[in-house]
Amino acid sequence: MKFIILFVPCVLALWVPLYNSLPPVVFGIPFFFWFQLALIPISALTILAADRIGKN
Amino acid sequence: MFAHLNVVATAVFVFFFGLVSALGFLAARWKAADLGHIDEWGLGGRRFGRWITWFLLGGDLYTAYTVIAIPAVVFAIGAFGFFAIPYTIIIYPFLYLTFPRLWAVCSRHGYMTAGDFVLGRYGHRGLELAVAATGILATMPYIALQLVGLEKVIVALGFSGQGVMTHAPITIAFVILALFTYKSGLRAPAMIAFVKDAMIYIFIIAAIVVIPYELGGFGAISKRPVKRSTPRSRPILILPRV
Repeated sequence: MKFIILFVPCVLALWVPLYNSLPPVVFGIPFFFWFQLALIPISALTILAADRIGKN
Repeated sequence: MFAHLNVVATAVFVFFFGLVSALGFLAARWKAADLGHIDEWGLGGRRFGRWITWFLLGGDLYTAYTVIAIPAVVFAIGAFGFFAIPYTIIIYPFLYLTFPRLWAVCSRHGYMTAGDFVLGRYGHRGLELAVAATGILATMPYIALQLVGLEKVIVALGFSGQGVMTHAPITIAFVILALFTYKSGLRAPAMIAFVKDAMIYIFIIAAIVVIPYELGGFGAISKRPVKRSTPRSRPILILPRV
């Protein structure tokens, strides 16, 4: 379970066709850029989740 | 040489360089121990704990590579420069799984470097040498990048030297850096990291608040025409979409 959770942000980051798009533009930032920036806190949260699971 | 010097920027630079250098030399007295012992000099006696390590990593991972090289790559070739983001996202889960175990093994057996670990694990002198040599070689371009980045910063301050003076500021800066690292070991970058991390946060806030405010939002920035000597395509996306 821990490994599956850690795998999620990695798969999303490597799946380039998923986010290789201009719309939806948010605050003037194309999807391509804000999706990758949004992955950073998501990645941090998945590591936190994996850590919590690992301790139980 | 100093005719076009930006006085304010230079004052800020000199202030922080002075502060960081003073901290670097003072760091030798921090968590006082015998710095003649290689564990104390090179690993801070393995006593840094979570918070100091967090600051140290923050200060060491985010360097001229992050604040000069990557933005320059994005500026030059567009979306391809964003490789840096997926790279970080993939590397952190991997480090989370492997590094605590590596730390525990190295702490138990008293290993200092990757070479020590390889020798202990595989008992092969040649492999140890190969890993150690690769580590030093692989660090060289990264050090070069830091030096080029520092030189760009000094040029951006408005300093323009001729002949021997061209590389004088960076030589002085590097000698000071080498001296306090020699004196304080890992304690120097660890103590400096607190200042460096604060500066990185100021830089990030400036990048996401002040710059869009001054230039009229992120949308306006991405549409701004850029003066280029050689016209070159700078795609916003990785692949052209139809």
